[in-house]
Amino acid sequence: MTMRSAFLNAGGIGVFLGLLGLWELITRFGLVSPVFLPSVGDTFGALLEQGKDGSLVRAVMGTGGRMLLGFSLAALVGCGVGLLIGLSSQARHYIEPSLEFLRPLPASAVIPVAILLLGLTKTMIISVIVFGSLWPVLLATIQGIKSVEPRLFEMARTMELPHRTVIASIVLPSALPDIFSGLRLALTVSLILAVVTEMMSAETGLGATILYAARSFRSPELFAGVVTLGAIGFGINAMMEVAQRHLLRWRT
Amino acid sequence: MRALILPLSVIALWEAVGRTQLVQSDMMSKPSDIGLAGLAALTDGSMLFATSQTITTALAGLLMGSAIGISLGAWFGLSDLAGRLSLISVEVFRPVPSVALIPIAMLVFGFGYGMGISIVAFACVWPTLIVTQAAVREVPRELMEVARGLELGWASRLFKIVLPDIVPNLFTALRLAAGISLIVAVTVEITANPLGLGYALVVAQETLHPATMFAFLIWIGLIGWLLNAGLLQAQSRLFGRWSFAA
Amino acid sequence: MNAAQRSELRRPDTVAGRSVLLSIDKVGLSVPAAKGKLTIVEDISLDVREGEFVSIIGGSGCGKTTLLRLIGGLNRPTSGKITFEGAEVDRPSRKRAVVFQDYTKALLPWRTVVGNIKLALDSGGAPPDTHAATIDRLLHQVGLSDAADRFPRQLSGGMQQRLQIARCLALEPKMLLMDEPFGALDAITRQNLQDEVAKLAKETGMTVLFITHDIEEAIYLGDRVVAMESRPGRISAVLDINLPRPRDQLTTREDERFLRYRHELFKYLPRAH
Repeated sequence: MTMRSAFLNAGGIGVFLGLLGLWELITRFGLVSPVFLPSVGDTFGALLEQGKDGSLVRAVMGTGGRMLLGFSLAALVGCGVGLLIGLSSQARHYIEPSLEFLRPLPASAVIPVAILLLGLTKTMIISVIVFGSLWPVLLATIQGIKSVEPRLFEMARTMELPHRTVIASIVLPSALPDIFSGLRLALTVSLILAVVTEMMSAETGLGATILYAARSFRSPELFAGVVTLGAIGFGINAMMEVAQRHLLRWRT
Repeated sequence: MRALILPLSVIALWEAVGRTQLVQSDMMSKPSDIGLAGLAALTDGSMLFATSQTITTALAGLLMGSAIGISLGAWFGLSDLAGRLSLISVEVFRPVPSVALIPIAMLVFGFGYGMGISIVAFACVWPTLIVTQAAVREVPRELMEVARGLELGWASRLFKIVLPDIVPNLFTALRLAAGISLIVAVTVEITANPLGLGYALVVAQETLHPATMFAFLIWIGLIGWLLNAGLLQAQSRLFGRWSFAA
Repeated sequence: MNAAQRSELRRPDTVAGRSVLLSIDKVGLSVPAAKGKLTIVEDISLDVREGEFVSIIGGSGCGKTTLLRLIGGLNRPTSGKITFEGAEVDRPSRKRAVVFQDYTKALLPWRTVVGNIKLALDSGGAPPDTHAATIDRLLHQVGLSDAADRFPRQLSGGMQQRLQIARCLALEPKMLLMDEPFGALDAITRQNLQDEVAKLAKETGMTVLFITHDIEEAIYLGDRVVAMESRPGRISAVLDINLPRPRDQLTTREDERFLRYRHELFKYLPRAH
């Protein structure tokens, strides 16, 4: 990293800390009621409290666990089904238009349906998460397979490559960039749906924690929870970035 | 027309299964009932009223969020320094799930339009900011040098050179944000806010009216699809001949 | 083409002692079109003997790529028959390796140079512990030993094409089908690769079908040059090239015979009016 780069990064951190300082000042001067905006100190105090009594860990495990479970299932099903559909141009012609119609549908809209069918259970939550995260993966997988360079298929024919080699060595690596962005999107959706379903069903988790804190007017706990959710979102994003850079290093 | 085969078969199958009364009628509903319920909701105005509420929320949030996002994005794009310094802060705030802000908005605004609009706005800031920043940075050097050669002030540079160049990208950003605004508005309504299509959906579910619930679900999907398709059409009409692949 | 020229092409097996590897017998390809059908190539007859280097030239649209694809088995002729090693050609085969013109699209960008060659070896019959040695040898043959761990995107056009050739050689083919392989390269790289291909062909005894639009390249490399005319694609001439080997970029191209062949073949190429 060059000197200039290091300076700018330090400056960036400085700006961020400055914003935190601004937050602190606003609360110090009482510009906003502490009911709505707790001070930075109070927020981190609440965070420590929750960390100490274990409620933070339980909440994170609850939200995170359901998110990851739902996401993994969605990823498996989405990639698998996407592969099947993507490889068959016949299947694509019949199925793709319906999928395109479903793309702009808010995933959260199926929650009431799921509640009606499955009640306020953990099964409902996981089903909702899987259902919502499925589509980005499915659509992205199909898109990735569609955009495999046709010349590579011809090359495979001239080399008399067996079918499974074509799929494993040509189709999947070629579709990986698209599939990966679908997975990133799906992970974001999983987090959102995990939080929303918690808020509606009062399972143990960050979503339930912050909603409860808001209802009890305990803003430090509320903000502590929001900060934690932000951190989870940030962590996921950072990990996916690193994974993407590594997996797709052949592009640069 | 092959496109219709799948949906029509699904509907037909669903209707057939519904008529055999295999599933309880307060949890499931057959397409014919859904259609009737949908018509009822349309004609008695409840569906359209809820739609107007959701669209108001989404639109207001979209405009607010995009205004902020585009302004910041333009600033960060034009000024390398601002762009670099803001990077870390943006990367920290961006991944916060907008639904996590629902309790805060609930505290501050109570139930109503304020809650929905503020969260939609937050959600729309980020995509517009990022796309605008990238678009501004990709304005060809030559254009910027022309601006300098003509000794244009920053305002003229912005409005006469940068903005016209990035307009297609802005449209894409708005299209994406529009989709997001609808999704977030509905999500907030389902989770907590008692107005709009999301709330209507929840009410139908809680009062055990599955036909009405499915009707609203399909309606929401329809609106989302129409919005997206409409904007795509508009984009190709307006910018098609520019051959910008956005 | 008159009867004498036609009999030139169909030499009996006994001549020159080399067996006929590929036999193209009155092959044609037509596709349905707006007005009836469009004939892309017709009445193509040609015998290629083992170890021969046959260059095929013609203007654009003369169907030379189509002919290559038919020989390679990527397309089926609508009339006539192609025979390779005595059997009819109806599908692609590792024995007829194809070197595509758009080399970037024919390489796997996510694999290194070694990885790309491995693709050919993994699906072949050789035991896995011999692969490393084979890859080393092939890289040496095409001059890519120093670039073994690079990705295609990090290679120049000429190097990418050499990689494709190496990968084709890994298939241990009996025939190499090259579709304007050097068309997208600069003149200097082209000349170097011409010599490399000529050397490879001699070293391995490979039979090569080489498509080009460049008359001089065709003469320089070939034992025979087949000239094709357009719309529909037909063979208009076949010339035996009696130039000494190994060929040299300077002396061969100045050779009186070279110039005569060039003169002769020029007639068969379309003129810009």
